[in-house]
Amino acid sequence: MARVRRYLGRVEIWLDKRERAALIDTVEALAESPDASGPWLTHRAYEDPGLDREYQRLTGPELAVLHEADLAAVREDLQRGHDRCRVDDERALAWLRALNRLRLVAGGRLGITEDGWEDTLGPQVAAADELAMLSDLGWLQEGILHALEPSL
Amino acid sequence: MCGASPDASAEGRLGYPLGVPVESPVRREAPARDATTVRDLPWNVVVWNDPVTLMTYVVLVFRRLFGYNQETATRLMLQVHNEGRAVVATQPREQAEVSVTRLHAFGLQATLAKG
Repeated sequence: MARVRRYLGRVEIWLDKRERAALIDTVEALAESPDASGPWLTHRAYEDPGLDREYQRLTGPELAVLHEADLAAVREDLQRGHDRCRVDDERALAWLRALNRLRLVAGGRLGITEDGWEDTLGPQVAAADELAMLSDLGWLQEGILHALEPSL
Repeated sequence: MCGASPDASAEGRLGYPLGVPVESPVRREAPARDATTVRDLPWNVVVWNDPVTLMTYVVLVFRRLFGYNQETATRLMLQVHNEGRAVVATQPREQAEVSVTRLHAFGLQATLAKG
């Protein structure tokens, strides 16, 4: 089972070979999602359509580059092939952003639209791969969040 | 007269050369309330609930981006969760837009609204 801890001012993410492989599969399954513009991935800034268009024009490319860089950081760390991945706080934040984005993709695919969805899962959703991905990514995210707490 | 005479080459606190005659100030109409003034009005940074993002993650983002302590960040997160939205900062428009972009970078739903 993956473990995350803070050690000597850094965040250590421990994942064995099987866990790394599973996480890489999850990243690839969700990152290249055709529904990457799902309900929780688009970010409106203004109610006014004109202002929002201008905002999207100015910030869209920058945000896309950041999201891609976050995912690249996770991929790179996983592909090093070590059980222990030791990262500084900025890199840990990149992991958090990437994991969160992947969860949002999974949530979109599962059709999650409201709080309390855990209590009203239909059988199809309960059996979906994305539900397990959502859970695993959340567990890892919680570990990193906990490890970052002392730095706040 | 006590003390030294004003030195014509020295400047006063408001930048006028001391000892040099200056014209009397002329009363002018105050500038109309223009676009600059409007732009400087505070804008609210509003964060909206989504059912997927972890609550603990939202707290961390609020703490990192706005420097809130754990208590304030948690209160705002719970307001987002329970009421669907919360104003997390009130700032000049340019700054508010930067805050919204940073929230978007962390994957949160955030918008700007005139304060």
